[in-house]
Amino acid sequence: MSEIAWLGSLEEALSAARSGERLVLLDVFNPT
Amino acid sequence: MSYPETPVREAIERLTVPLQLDNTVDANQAVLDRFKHVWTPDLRILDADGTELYRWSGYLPPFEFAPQLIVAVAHARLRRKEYAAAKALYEEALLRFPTALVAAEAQYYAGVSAYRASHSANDLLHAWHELEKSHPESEWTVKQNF
Repeated sequence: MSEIAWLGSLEEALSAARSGERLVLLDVFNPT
Repeated sequence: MSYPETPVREAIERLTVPLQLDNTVDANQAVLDRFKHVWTPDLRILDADGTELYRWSGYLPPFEFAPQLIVAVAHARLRRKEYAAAKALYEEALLRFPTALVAAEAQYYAGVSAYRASHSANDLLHAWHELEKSHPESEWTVKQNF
């Protein structure tokens, strides 16, 4: 099963959103 | 964790640019402060300029997460005045996940988006009548009274 290709930087995500039709899903998580 | 489940992954990949930030990493703190982050899970829908258009928090199992995400993107489209896109997403959530916790809210805003698109009061009243029938005890049925 493939995994979601999460980005790790806000700027990178906003740049990807600017070049497409999608909006950014920001998920803030705590690994513990 | 809800993300490996197919309906969740499909909705995330189809509708969003997915971004994950670990709140224990120092390098992320400036962004987390910008968004007034308090608690996890903390999910936001952002415009391409970084404007927050919708947020929710707290764990949801896959069969609730997928409809919540679709409705979240619908809300974001509605706020961007993309009424047809918003209406289509509310309707998708209702069709695929009619018993979801977010279904009543989706039905309420399906009416709002239809009305914004058509300016026809009948579109709003039809959707809200359906809401009254399908979710008589919902807070959204209370909110439709005027």
